[in-house]
Amino acid sequence: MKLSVNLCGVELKNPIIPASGTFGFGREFSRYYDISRLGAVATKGITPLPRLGNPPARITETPSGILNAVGLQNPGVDAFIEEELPWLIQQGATVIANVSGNSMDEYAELAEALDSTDIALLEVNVSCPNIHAGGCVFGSDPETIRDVAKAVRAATRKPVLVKLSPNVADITEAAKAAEEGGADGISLINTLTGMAIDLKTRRPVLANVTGGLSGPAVRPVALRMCYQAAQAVSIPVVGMGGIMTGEDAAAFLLAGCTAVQVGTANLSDPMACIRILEELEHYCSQNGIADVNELIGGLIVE
Amino acid sequence: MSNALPPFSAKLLSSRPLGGGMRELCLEVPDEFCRASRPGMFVHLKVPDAPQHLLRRPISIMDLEPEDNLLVLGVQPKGEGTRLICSMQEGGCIEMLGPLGNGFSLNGAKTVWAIGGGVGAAPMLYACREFSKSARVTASLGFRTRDMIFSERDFHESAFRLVIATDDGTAGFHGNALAALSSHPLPDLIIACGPTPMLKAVQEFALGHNLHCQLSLEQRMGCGYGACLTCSCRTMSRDGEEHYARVCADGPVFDAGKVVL
Repeated sequence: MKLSVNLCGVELKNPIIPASGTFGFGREFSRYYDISRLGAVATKGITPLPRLGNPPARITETPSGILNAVGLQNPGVDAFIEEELPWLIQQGATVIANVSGNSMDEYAELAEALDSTDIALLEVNVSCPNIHAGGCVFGSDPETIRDVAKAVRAATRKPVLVKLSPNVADITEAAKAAEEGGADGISLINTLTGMAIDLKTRRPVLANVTGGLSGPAVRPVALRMCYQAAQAVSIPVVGMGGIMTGEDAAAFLLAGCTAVQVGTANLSDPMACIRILEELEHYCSQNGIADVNELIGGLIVE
Repeated sequence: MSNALPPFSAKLLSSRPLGGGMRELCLEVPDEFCRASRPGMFVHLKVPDAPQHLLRRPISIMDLEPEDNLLVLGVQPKGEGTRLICSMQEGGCIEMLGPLGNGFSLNGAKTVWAIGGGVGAAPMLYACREFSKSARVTASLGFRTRDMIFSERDFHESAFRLVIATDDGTAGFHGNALAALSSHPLPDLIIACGPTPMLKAVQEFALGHNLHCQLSLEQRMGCGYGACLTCSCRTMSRDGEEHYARVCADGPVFDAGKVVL
C-alpha cells in the first residue's frame, strides 16, 4: 500500500505528523518508538530568543478537550539549531520547524537562521493564542498574515507552511491571505481560545486566564475549516484538530488535506501517532484503497 | 536513551477504603515495572471507560511488592476522573503509564525524616519501606483530623519510628508534621510530600539547618513524560537564574535548594 504523500515538494513517508507543542523536539517519544516512522515531526514553537513560558497552571481538562497556555516555552533558535536539530536529523526524522515571532523582522530573522539547516519545511505560527502582541492575537487579520508570509517567503528557500488560527471571522480569507503572501501550504487549525473557572477559588484555572482549546471537542470545527480552506486555495492544506484515530485522519484527508497533524492525542498516549498511522493503514486496506492519495480531497458533496 | 515501558493494562486485584475518603487500589504490574520503580515515582492512569477524559491522572506509588508484582496506590477522589478510577470493580483493568519521574534518593543518608501531609503521605510508605533497608527512617505524617489518617499499621511496620500529627489535635501531636519533630535529633536527609504550605515550611527549615532535603511536587499535568511542558515549577540555578522545570520528567522530586515554591 502506498502511504507516502508529497507536501509542498517534500516527500513524506506517510501523512501523519505530530503537531507543534505536543511533541517537544521528539526526544521523549524516541523512548517509546522510532520517530523516523512518522511522516514528519513539527517541532515545539521556536522563537529568536529563549522563552520561559507562562507561569503554571498551564493545562486543564475540559469535556473531550484540553485547555493549555504554555506560552511558547522554548530554548531559542540558536539552541534548536545546535542541540535539537542535529539529533532529530540523526534519528532520520523529516523536520518541520515551527517558528513564532513578535514582529515581521523576527519572522524574517527566524526564516533566515533556518534557511541553511537540514529542516525540510518551515511552519510559521501566526496564531499562538497564548502570547500577545499589542494586546491582540498577532495573526488574526488577513493583512498581517499576508505580510508575515511575504516576509518569510523572501527570507528562505525552504517550503513555507503558514499555520492559521481558527479565531478569525472568515477562515477562507486567512487561507487566501497566506497563499497571496507566497506560502507553499497552510496548516490549520491552531487552538480555539477558551477559558475555565475554578468555582471553589473563583479564579481562572489557568494562570494565563485564557488558553487554547484542543482535542475531539474542536474536531468538527477543525474539519469544517479545513474543508473550506481547501476549497479556497490551490496550495496544500495540512489539517489538524482533535484527531485521535486513523479514521479521524482519513476524514481530514477526504476534506482536502494532504497531510494531518496529531496534537492532543500525544498527551493522552505516547504511542498515539504510531497507532493512528496503523489505523489509517488498516482503514485503507479494509476499504480497498491502494494509495492514500486517493483519499485526499475525495469528499463527495451531493 | 533508555527505552520506556509503553502503556500497559493493569488488573485491579483489590480495592478497599482507606481513611479520609481515599481508596487503596492493588494492581498487578509486570516485572519491568517493578525493576524500574523507585520511591517518589508515579503512574499516569487513564480514566477507565471514559474517552472524554483525555488526560491521564498522575498518582504516586504508595507501595510496591515486587515478589508478587503488586502495585499499591492510594487515590483521593477529587474530580470525576479520580472518582471513576476509585469506583473500578475488582478484576477490571486500567491502562497505566509508568513508573514515571525521578524519585527520592537516599545518597548514603543514615537517618531520614519522611514528612507527609494528607494524601502526600502515600508515597512516604514506599519510601519508608525501601529506605529502612539501609537507614533509620522517622515518618512524620500530618492530617487535618483523626478520620483522615490512613495505613497507620503499614507505616508502623515500615518506618523506624512513626509520628502522627493532626491539625485539630484529635490524634497524635496537635499541630503540623514538621513541628511534631521539633524534639527529634536532626537527620541526614529530609524527604517530604504534601500541600505547598507544608513543603514551604519544610524547605525553609531544611535550608535554615543546612540539611539535605528533597521535595515531591504536584502540578496540573499533561502527558506525564516531559513533552508538553505544562506541569511547570520554578527552579533556581546556581547562578540565580530562574527556569521552569517539568514536574513530571525533571521531578516530581526536586532538591529543596533548587525549587522555588
